[in-house]
Amino acid sequence: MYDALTRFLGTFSADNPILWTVLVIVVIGGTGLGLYAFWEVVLKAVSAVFSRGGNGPGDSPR
Amino acid sequence: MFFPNAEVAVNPFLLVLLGVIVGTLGGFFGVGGGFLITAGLLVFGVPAIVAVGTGMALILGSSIVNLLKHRHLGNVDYRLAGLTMLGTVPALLLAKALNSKLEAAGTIGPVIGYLYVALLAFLGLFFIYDYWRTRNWSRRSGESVSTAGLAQRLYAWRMPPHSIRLPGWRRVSLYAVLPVSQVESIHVLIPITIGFAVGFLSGLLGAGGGFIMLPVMIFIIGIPTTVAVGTSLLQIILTGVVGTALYSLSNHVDLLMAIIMLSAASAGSQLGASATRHVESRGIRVLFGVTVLSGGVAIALKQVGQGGRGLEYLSTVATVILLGVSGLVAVLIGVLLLRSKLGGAKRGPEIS
Repeated sequence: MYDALTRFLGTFSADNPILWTVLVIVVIGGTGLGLYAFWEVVLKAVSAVFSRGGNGPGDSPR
Repeated sequence: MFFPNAEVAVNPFLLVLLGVIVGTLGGFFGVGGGFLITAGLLVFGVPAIVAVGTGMALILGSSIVNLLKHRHLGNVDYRLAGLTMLGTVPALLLAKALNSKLEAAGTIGPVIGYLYVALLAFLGLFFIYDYWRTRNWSRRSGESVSTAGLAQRLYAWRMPPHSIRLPGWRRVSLYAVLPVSQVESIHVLIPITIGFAVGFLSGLLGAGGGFIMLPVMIFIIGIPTTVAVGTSLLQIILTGVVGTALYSLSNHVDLLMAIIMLSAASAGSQLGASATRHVESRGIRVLFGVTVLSGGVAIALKQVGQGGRGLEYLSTVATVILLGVSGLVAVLIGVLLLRSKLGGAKRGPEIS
């Protein structure tokens, strides 16, 4: 798997410079957006868990 | 682990460590982290031009993550970023052409190395001096000291032409108002020229330009530190896109290396960007100064170590200094954030 990936990256970048450039920008940009979305979801989930933990039965509005 | 585009083997744990540190510092200081990435990759033995190209790709990705975070915090001045970008694009093309000439002449490694040392040392010492000066002044007079003297003179400078007539359009003023940055009037040629100068230097060094743009925005344009942090990221993304495209075309970007570091950097950037809300501006500036100064010292040691004469161990010392200091600053940022969260402390007063 790793060997196939490195072989693909090595040959594709050398043979198709324009497609390689597009691929690099799309992959990097997409990964950045994906990682931001991932961390937003994780942080929201964590804060939801903590805020729920802080609200005991006595804290709930009447 | 072997990286096919860089044609070099690098320990992936070192890349992850560098990525986390870059992400934390990038989120906190509003820089893409290029000065640290290229410096780190050079220290890890990656060829100079691939270090520059891969650094550009990582800058692009990590700046997208950091910008989205800062946009959420209201720290981005789109108008100012747009003006600086007008100067950045032609400067990047010029810098890339010069880089190719230096590579052909076989002098790109030393040129990038020594230019980095000079710039990082100057900026680091300047920020530390500024911290020392403002702290002493505040202690003596009990008042905060203004760091925007140059900016005030720039605002007052009525540089011709004051307006231009566009064909088929009415006369347009060349003075811009930047409400987010709290600038009432500035000639558009000033941010465009600054964008050109920063773009040229960053294109030459393979950095996003944040470590140059941030002090320029604070001390020359005179905008609040937190807005400078967010706005410089937008400019860095443009530098990142153009730079990544140019270096990818000549096959000088290692995608695998960039993805590994980007994934690690995204975790750190969450921490860094959140911390800017809880640490006062002066604290952000002095930490920035210490970090860039350590980068300069590390590259200087690396350059001396490459000269041979039994000084090869200096490369290891450079790695320890670079990762040690920036790692410590990243840990300190985490501690400051944790302390303020636990203590419910608010950010200190802004030094204007």
